[in-house]
Amino acid sequence: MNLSDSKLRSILANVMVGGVLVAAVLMFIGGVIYLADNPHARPGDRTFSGEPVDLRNPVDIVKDALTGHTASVIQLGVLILLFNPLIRVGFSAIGFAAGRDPLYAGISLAVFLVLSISFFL
Amino acid sequence: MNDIGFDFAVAIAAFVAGVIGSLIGLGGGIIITPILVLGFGIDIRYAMGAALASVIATSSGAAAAYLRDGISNMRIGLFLCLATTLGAVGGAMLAGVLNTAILSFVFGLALLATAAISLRKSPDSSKIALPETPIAKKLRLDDEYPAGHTYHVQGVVPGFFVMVIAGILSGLLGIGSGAFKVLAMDQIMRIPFKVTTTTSNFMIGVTAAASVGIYLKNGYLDPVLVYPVALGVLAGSFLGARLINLVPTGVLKVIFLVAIVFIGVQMVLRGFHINL
Repeated sequence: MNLSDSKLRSILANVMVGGVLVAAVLMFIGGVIYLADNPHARPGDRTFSGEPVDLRNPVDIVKDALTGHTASVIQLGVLILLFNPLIRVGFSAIGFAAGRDPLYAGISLAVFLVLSISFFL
Repeated sequence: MNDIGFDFAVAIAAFVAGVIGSLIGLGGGIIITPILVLGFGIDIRYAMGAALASVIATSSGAAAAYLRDGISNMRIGLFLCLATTLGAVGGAMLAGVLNTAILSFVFGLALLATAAISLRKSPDSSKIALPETPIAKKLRLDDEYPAGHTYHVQGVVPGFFVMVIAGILSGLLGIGSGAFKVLAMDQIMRIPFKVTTTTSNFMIGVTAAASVGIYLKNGYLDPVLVYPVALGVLAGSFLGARLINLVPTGVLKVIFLVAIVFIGVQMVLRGFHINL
């Protein structure tokens, strides 16, 4: 266990905690505003209809969240949660490459690719 | 009940699931989904989506602490994530074509299996002086825990395949499948228990991320349900982790696992359209 290993782990830990906090704050703010705007609307969760298209596509989610659409703000928090592990794995790939460990840089990159591709399936 | 009351009740239930989950060493995901389905009448696909988002949140928080300590083995974690993420992508795609009765049935079975795994006697510690294996050496999976004591990873190939199955279950059911990951690393790969549980925590978030993209595309992530569940579970597991040294977890574990068996049976019966 060398210095660069523990440094990498420390950076990763900070990224993870920071990401979760940002996501939680976005979900909380979005949720509070949503409830204020729609105090009597019932969530349509009892029967499955699938979410509207603009809440399924990352580009639309970011766009709508910036215009203040509250459901999209919450969904942006969810997106940040999703990207957290992706960033974690990406950082690992860079860290292993910097530590001249091509085998684990490759393995990290492969996991990164699986996660990225899963997004476009 | 109006919307605010409903959201509040869901958040409280998620909070309790988070506390219990971290006290008995299960993720919130496998507990909160049946509560949402059986208790709140929510469609299992929406419940799975909300649970999966909370799984990522809690595992990222918990894994960060262990990563700093250097106990979790990043090489083992990343290597096995190759198996779990591939499995999860397949599982999530499968979830899109199976009907809710089958999902309930499989979920119930997974709950029962999880309870059985958790009720097993404490893992044996006779993992010292195991021989070095060529494949673990080639992959440089062996490390030290505690410091100065090298452990040699066994059964890399069977362990990898069990991880594919753990990944499929994660994507199919929207759970972290931590119990299955721990079983594979502890029993097959013979990794020290503390390293096993912390590495599993690191892997759970990465595994879950492989299916969240597909869940999002299929419309399983309803923001209005996700936020009370994810925030509730996150806060609950945060509190649970701090209570763990204050409460007698041995007794709690048995009580809650019996409850989980009961819930598991109900989910299985739901697969046959029998509601108790």
